[in-house]
Amino acid sequence: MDRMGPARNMSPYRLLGSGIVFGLLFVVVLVGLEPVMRSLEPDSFLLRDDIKDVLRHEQTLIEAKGKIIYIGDSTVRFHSRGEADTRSQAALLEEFFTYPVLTASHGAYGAREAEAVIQACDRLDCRPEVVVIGVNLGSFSRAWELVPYYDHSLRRFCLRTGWITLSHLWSHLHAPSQLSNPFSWAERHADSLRRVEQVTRDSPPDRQYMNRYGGNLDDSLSFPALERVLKKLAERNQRTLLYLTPINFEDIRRTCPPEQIRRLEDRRRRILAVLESSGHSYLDLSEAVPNDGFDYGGSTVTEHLISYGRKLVAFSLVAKLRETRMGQATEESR
Amino acid sequence: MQFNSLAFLIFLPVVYSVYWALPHRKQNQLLVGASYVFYGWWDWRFLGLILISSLVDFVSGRRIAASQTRRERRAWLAVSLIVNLGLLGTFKYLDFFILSAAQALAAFGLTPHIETLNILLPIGISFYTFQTLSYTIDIYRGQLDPTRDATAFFAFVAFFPQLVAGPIERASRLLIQFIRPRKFDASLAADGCRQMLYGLALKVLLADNVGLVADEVFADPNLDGWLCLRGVYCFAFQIYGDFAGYSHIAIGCASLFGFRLSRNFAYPYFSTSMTEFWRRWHISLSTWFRDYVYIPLGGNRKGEIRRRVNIVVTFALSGLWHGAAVTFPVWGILHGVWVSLEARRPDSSDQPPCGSGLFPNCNQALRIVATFHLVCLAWIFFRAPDLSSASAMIGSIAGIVTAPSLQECLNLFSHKAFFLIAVFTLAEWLRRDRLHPLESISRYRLVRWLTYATVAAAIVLVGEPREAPFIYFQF
Repeated sequence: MDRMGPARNMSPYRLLGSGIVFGLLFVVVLVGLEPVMRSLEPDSFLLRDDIKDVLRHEQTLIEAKGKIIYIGDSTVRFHSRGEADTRSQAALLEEFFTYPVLTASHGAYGAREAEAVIQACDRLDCRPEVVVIGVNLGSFSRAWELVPYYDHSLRRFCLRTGWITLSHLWSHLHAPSQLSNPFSWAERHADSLRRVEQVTRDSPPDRQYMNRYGGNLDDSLSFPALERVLKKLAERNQRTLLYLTPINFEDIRRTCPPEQIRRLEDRRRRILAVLESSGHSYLDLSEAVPNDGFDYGGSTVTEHLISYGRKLVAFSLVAKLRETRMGQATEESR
Repeated sequence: MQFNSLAFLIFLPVVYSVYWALPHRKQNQLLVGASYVFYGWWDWRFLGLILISSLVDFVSGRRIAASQTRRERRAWLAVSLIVNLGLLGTFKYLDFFILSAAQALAAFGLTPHIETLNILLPIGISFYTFQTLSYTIDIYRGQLDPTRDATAFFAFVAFFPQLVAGPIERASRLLIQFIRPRKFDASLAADGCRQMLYGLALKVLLADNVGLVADEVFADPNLDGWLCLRGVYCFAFQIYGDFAGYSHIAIGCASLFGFRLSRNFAYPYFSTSMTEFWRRWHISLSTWFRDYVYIPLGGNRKGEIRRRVNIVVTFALSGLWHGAAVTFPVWGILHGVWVSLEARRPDSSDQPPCGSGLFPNCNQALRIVATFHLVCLAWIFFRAPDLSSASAMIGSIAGIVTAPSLQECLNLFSHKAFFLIAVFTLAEWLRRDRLHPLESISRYRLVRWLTYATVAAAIVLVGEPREAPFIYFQF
């Protein structure tokens, strides 16, 4: 036993006090370590992958003046394995529009992550020419929000605050409490959680579609975030183009019962109403790609597109950008 | 409630503050209440099981001691065994046995319409049932007097630091500490804080990081042999970091309340034989099986062959204790066979492994490497979802024909998981004469505090903050 520590007759409350002092000093040390963390090589193995992404996003935003920032989920940068045309949605947009496009995207980014990126724009005083946001109808489902891999809370905290070290501390305290706390949001949505666990890639397509696009929008954390981000963009007077990413409506109409299709259409209508009322330009591309434009490598239920589908989306985006004369001023001045 | 959660960060100081302001009996009452809150945080419905187990064993213990006849004593012991093992059997093994029976019938061409009950395994049930069983068995054997203090007994069964994953304590060691008044020992409590910090580092920094590699590899057992081998190494350190980490936190946490729990891990991966490994790995479970299974089976008193058979049977049961799947008894039998083939050695778990020299000698180094690899081989069965996956993985590893170059080996350490394995292995080797590596670091306060701050910063900045419950919770 260590006899180098405190005196034996020390009171328990003095030890508690020492612990609290240590905790406070530790937070100060963490704050002091912020520049050290930021000075690490971006690919250092000491940095977590999500922090690496946040640093990349920050760099993107710093360089964004006069460019298009494309925010979205995996559909933004996806191309199929083994596909001859490996140009992503973002690359196609840049090529067709002949305008520089930078991305702030990652698999399963939704409205909450878009909101965090726009908050980071404020923090970094970033003024992109145009912000393009892909809105995935699936990202408003409990099934989406409850998948641990899709939990980007650390990225959001870090993008919002700019504190790498403190966001680590926050995420450590936050993460394990998610499922082990009877008062937590996860517990309150236990039914949804069980549903998520029961639906797998081997489940019948209609159950997978229901899991992805069904559910009540009022339960979703992303839906209010979408309203907030639209408001924020309007306050910034930011030129913005939003679009609903394509989903496989053709297959949905073939495999799902009418009630389920009606619910999906309700969801789409409500989201479009929010986009409409925001005053920003928007496109409904949810039915723009036919059945054969999707990539089924990963799953039947997917928003990933093959080259043909990606081109359809890119053409639509370019047409809308031209129609609304977004990106024109800088294009002319170049 | 998880140790690495915000809830526990608030819970612990609150309970600690109130606890030391109370007299002895009220302290025990507080610990019962706090332990039930801690356990009920997962699911309050499981509290019923722990209450049943505590009540039955409290009454059985008293009745065994009060019984006049051997038959009556046996009957009360049987009540305790049936209730505890019944709970364990129902909640942990019933589905497994139903499925196994269905598979056995299917092998004979019968297709029974059997449905499993999908029973949820209550966290920690294997640990607290074994702890409370040892109480009634010890009373039956005349090695322990029953307690009249129900509060102390209920606190002993449910004591929150070690309730969920041990160490499995004996009543003769822990219950007595609940019965006697406790005095705050600042030195013990301060070391408890250090031990908790080290345990947290093992869990969050080592286990959760290397676990990412292990999970990836075990998800696809047909990977290239070298990748499989890396995954197995990572799992070996994941399960060590996870379980030893939990034990350190539990022991440290108990120290804050004036309790001394048994040591559960004594640097097992530096063992030079399988026998030594089991004296250093999950010590409280090994000694439980030794005292309540191996010795009643006859131990080493019935000849050499019987001794070896007893060892294999004990390890097979130990494997089954770990989980309801065929892979676990296979893991246990492998260990049993290896231990039974070794010559008997005196217990040396109190001594640091390989003495106190800076380097092991050549013989020791070879034995450490060989023992570690045998342990890793068995871990494949422990972690793999089924026997065919385990076989596929062993096949991949056996298919390795070319050794990696020195540069490839060195490159491995630029990977976070292997870098952390190297750091922890080095720290544990250099501090293996201590109960844990953060004990008695320096006489200078500044050095000590800087070390603690560095470890804490590493936990926060390099640790993996993911939803990763301790592995042993499922046992």
